[in-house]
Amino acid sequence: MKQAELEREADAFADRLSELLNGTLCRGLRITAASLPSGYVLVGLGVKKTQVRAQQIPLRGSGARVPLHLTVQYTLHDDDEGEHLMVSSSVLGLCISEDGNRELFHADFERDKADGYPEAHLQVHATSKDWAAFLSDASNDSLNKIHLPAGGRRYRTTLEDMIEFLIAEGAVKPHNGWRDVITKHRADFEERQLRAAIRRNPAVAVAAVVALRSQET
Amino acid sequence: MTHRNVGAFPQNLKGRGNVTKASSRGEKSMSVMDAVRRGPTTVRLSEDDAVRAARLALRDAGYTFDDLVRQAASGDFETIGAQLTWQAVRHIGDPGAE
Repeated sequence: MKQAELEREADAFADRLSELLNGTLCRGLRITAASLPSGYVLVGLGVKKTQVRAQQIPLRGSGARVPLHLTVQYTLHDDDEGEHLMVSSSVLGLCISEDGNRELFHADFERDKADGYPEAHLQVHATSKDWAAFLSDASNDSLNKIHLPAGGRRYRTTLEDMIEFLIAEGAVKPHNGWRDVITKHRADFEERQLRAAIRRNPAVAVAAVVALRSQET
Repeated sequence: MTHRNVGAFPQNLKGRGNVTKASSRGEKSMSVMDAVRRGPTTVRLSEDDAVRAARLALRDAGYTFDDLVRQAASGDFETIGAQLTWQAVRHIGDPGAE
């Protein structure tokens, strides 16, 4: 994929994120992207020529006592065939400080993660006696260092999931019509994932279609 | 739309266009969405731009490139800020000292 084409795809990706966030929790927010000479594109709030790390997104909490902030940062690249845009890594998180240091949890995705941990995982900042008992036998000594599996490459935790979680738990005040926005964006994500799964497994896809056709006749 | 209603006003608009002031005076003004749509969504960085941006990111985060290499290799980052910075600078490389 040529750089200009990659950037057009990145534009569309970032604009979809802006639409999702502005249609559910935020107003007037614009997600932007920076295209690097290495062929990667960084995406997040405030990303520009002089700032490649995303800023935290402030949220209006339902009680307004906790300064909730959403972490949203994606790294994009083209796929091995150079034909489609793909997410190389993403970090979606929730914290209660503007600098992001008071973190509650985050959902990571890192394609081809080399350290043996799941590509898609959750890391939670919390403590409990039972977790402490488990951790005493594990290789990491605190819960926030444990990589809880979260759906794998195709069905990883999405921004739609994070937003829905915040609303369902009553932590934020959503805009009217938020559910339709989530549904539309989730359907779009799932269709993209399905298309990618079919490209990676054409024989399985063909067999499934043949089976459907035989049922119809 | 006034500033009061803007949940998350984008930092990259600060100092540009004076959207809030124009709105509050009732002058001919642009909507916030018109304002945020100005300029490209994706900017292209040259090699020099990328090196400068990586230096700034590392300085703001308070880490060296090697610090983040070590944290990444261990599978754990000290903070989410360290992780976000690593995800950004790893595709640029060590920018070295200015």
